Order: sequence, then structure tokens, then C-alpha cells
Amino acid sequence: MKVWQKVYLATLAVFLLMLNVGLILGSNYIFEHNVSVERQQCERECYFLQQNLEHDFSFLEANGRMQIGVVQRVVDNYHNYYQSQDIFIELREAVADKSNTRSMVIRGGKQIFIQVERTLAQPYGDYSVFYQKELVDFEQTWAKLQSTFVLISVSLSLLLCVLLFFMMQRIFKPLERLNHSVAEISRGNYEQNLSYKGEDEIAELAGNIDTMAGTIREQIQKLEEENQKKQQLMDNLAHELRTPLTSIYGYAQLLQVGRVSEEETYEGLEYIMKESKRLNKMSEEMLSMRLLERSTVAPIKVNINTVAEHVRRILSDVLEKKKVKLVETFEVTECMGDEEGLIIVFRNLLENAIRASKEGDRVEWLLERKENGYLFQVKDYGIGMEQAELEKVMDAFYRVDKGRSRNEGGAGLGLSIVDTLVKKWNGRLWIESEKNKGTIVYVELPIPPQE
Amino acid sequence: MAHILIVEDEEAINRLIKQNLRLAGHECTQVFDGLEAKKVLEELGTFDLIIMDVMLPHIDGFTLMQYVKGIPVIFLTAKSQLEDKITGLTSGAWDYLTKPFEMLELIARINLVLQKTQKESKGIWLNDVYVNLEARTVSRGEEEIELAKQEFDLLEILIRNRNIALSREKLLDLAWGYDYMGDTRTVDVHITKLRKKLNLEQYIKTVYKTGYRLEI
Repeated sequence: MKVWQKVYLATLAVFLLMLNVGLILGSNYIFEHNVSVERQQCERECYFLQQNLEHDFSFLEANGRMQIGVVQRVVDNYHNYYQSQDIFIELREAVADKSNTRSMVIRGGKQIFIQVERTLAQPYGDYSVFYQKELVDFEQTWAKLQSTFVLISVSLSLLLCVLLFFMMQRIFKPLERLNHSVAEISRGNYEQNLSYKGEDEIAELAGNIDTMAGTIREQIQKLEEENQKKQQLMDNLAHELRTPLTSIYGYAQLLQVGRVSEEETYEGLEYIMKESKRLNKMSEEMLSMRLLERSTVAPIKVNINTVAEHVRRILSDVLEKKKVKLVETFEVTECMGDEEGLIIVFRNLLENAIRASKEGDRVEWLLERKENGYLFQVKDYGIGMEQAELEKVMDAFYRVDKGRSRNEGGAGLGLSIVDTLVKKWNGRLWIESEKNKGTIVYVELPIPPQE
Repeated sequence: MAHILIVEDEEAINRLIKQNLRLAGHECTQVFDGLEAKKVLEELGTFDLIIMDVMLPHIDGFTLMQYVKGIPVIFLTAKSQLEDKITGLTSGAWDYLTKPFEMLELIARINLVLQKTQKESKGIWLNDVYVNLEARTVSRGEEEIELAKQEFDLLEILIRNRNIALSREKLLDLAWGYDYMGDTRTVDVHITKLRKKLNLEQYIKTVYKTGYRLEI
């Protein structure tokens, strides 16, 4: 049974009970009141009768005719007169030790009688007058009253049934809608907008469910995005593995079965070794990326000159081979991070910059102190990138210029590693580039809040 | 001998294909990206066959198909996904190969395409002997040398896969098919006969642990 039905039935039951009890009590009160009015009337009439009798008796006594027969006639006279009004009159012997007025209501079956007995005043104290009136119309009036009350009760009850039904429907309608929406959410349809106006609990609940659905939607979207990224990574990885493996397998087969000169043999073996190294480097980089993602090293103060010295040493061969000039402009000598991480970051960024440069170009490495952190720039005047390339450049294994980058030994993971590290330090990395003009990579590292 | 264009951005693989094709006696032109390929196709455009990678810098392989103009193309792809194969074949390519590929498979597919386009050489000189692959005859000067059918089959396979060592099992399979009732010694027997009849001791080499190779 639904809640609104329960509430409906409970309310209905309580109301009907109250209504009917009220009606019964009310009708009883009216009945009793009428009876007591009637009774007072009877008492007054009896009193009047008593006065009359006393008057008559004293008149008879004064005339000396106070005899049984005469008295009886007088009483009979009264009796006959009252009988036409359905009233029974009788002269009785007074009962001693009783107050001089007694009245009672007697109900027998469908009949109601009011009996009044009054003792006459002295010297006629031995007598009392008995007065009994049957309430004839009373029963009818009562029945009429009762049927009216029943009619009222029934029509009020019906009205209540209907009114209450619609009221409940109205009050519980939003709850039903809410229920429907939640069922939709549980079915995986998170695009629910309940937008229930009001300030009651249902509105509150609707608001909370809306928030919940929103959160779930966000989380799922995030998961899907991450999943997609992972899928992309796997696809790229499969492709990247396939290429060196093709070379290695191909040259090994060529050397085994082909008729090759000594020179060709040497060249083939060179390729096999080079591609094996590439595979090795790829696995190393992937491993280090996994490690970086897991490690939690808090950034500390690092002397940038030490970092630069290291990076310069690592890159000296490449710089010389390509005749590229590396220009360092550091506004300050320290920054936040960790030495090893910074070496990895700038080695990769500078390597990319040198790779993009033409022979004899300049690569600039800048460090500025900003209000709440440090801003690095790695600037080259090389081939640059188009917007479409720029968007994909952060993906693992993406290469702007496939052939060349591979020939120079990159595995395609450099920027992914850099990004992982920068994020680890709560920093930000972004790239500006223009085709054939050059590229600027910005790395912003914040100063961690003082504890 | 055919003139073949290799379009592959991986230097190592490009060179590997070239060496394989050179062994099979073909002449090669190498290009390393889409733009270069487009330029070469527009300027020269007289190749017997093109071997082309799908993922190329600048212009991808499928897009390059519009510059090909009737030259048979074999696609090389690292992706073995069905989708790529379908796109490759519906784009007008004759065949496709997935990386990593087998040397013999590469040669076989190239030979198949060249056979269809009749760009294959019809005969070949082995020392002083001329082998006519079309007429299936072998002659020294004016004199015709009698070869049994099985011997010629074997010789043909050696010629088609020249400069590549083939195992006895492979020779058995390629020359006479799986149904052929015989063992690997049959190969040895026929090789000996060929060497003797055609005076090819210097040409048909025994390769250590591998098999036989016809060196031209």
C-alpha cells in the first residue's frame, strides 16, 4: 500500500470517528435537554395542580363538604380534563419521609413518561398528587433528528472522502515524480532535472537528489574520459611497440636468410640494436611515469643553477650536434620542486625545443618570480605547431613529426612525464605555438602554503 | 625487374623493405613522408608498384591514393584492425600487409601483383643459362636443356625468391604444394640435379641450418 493511501485511510478513519462520536454526543445532549425542559414544564403544571387542589379542598372544608365522594369527584374532574391531553392524574396517599416534590423520567420501549408527585401542603399533607405525562411527539421528533444527523454524517463523510483524496493526490504527487526520477537514475539515466519548487522536505529531497545525480554524472563522465585516455594510451602503445618490433624481426630475418653483404649485415645489426634500445627506453619511461604517478615528494627549495648545470651537461652533445645556443635568464636563483624532477622536466622540454629548432637557432630558458610562485618559459624559434597538433601534444606517444623525432631517439613520452611531475607539484603547464615561428612552453610552480 | 616506390616514415623499416626488394631484383625509390610522396608521384608517377605505410606525416596513405593514378598499391599498416583493412582495400589498394611482416610474404605479394600487371620479367639469365619463365624452357645457347616438371617448379620458386634462403620444407611446399608425396630429401635430390644439369654449383648455395638459396 502506498504512503498516500495509508495517510488517506488513517486521516479518514480518525475524522469519521470524531464526526460520528460528536454527532452522537450532540444528539444525546439535545435529547436530554428537551426531556429536562419537558420535565420542568410538568413540574410547574403539577405545582399548579397542587395549588388548585389545595384551594378546592379548603373551599370544600369551609362549606363542610369535605367528604370522600366529593373529593373523588373533584379529582375525577381534573382527571378527565387532563386525560384529553394524554396526562394521567391521581390523588394518592402521601408517603412519609419523602420530599414534597419527586419527579422522574421513565423510558419503556418506545414510550417515554415523565412522572411528578407532589405532597399537598398542610393540613392536607396526607395526600399527594401524582402527575404522569406521556411524551407522544417526542419519539417522532427524536427519530427525525436522528435521521437528519445520520444524513449529515454520511454526506460529510462522503465529501471528506473525496476532498481528502484529491488533497492527498496533490500533496503526494511530487513524491511520485521524485520516485520516478530516482528510478530513472537507478536505471543509469542521470539526465534528471527535478526542479521542484517549494520549501518543504520534498523540495529539499528533490534538490538533494538533483545534486546527487549531478555528482554521479560528473564522476561517470570523468571515469569515461579517463578510460578513453587509457584506451588511447594502449592503442598508441601497441602501435609504438609494433614499429621497433617490425624492424628488429625484419632485419633478423634478412640477416638469417637473405644474401647480404658485410656492410649490409653491419647496418642490419645496427638497426636491431638501435630499435632494441628504443624499446628499452620506452619501457623505462613508462615505468618511471608509473613511479612518478605514485610517488609523493613534497616540493622543496631548489637552487636552479644546480639544475641548469645538470641539464646543460646532459644536453651538451645534442646542443653541439645541432649547433643550437641555449640562453638561460634566471631572475632568481631558487625555485620550488625537487632537483631530480626539475632536471627531468627541463631536460625533456629543452630536448623538445632543440628538436624543433633549425641549425644555429637559439633556445631560451627563462625563470621569473611571480606573486605566488615561479614561472618558467622554454622558448624556441623552430618549426612550431598548428592548433590541432597542440591539442594532442600532451598525449602519451603523440609526435608532431613522427619520422624525425624517432630518429633522434624520443619515445613519445616526454611531455606526459613532464606533465605528471608538474601536476605533482600542483603546478600548471601550457603551450603557445605558431607554425614556423616557434613554441613557448610555460611551467608555473606555486609556492606551497606555509604551515 | 620492377621499379617500386616505398613510402614509409620509419627509416629502419623503409630501408628494410628496400633491402628485401633489392634482393628480389627490384629497383626502389624511397620517400619518408606524405608530402614527399605526393611530389614524387606528381613528378615521376611511373612506378610499377607502390608500397605505402598508412600513418604518414603530413598526408596519410589513404589520402595519397588520389595521386596514385592506376599504379598498384600495397598498404603497410601497424594497425591490424578490420576497419583499416576495409578502408585500405576500398580505397583502391591491391593488397595490404600488417607489421610485423614476413619477408617471404612481402615478396610473394609483390610477385603476385607484378604477375597480374604483367610487369614481371619473363625470363632470367643464370650464368650461361637462360630460363624462360613464360614458356617454361631452359636453354644454353641454341641448345635446350630438358628439365623434369618437378625440377622446373623448384627452379621457378628459387628464381622468384632469389637471394633468400628457403628451408627444405618451404621449398617442398612452395614448389609442389602440401599434397606432394615426398619428404625433404626429395628437395635435396632435385637441387643436386638442377646444379648438375644447369651447372649452377656456384649459384645454388647451401645455407647453414637454413636451406638453399639461389644467388644472382
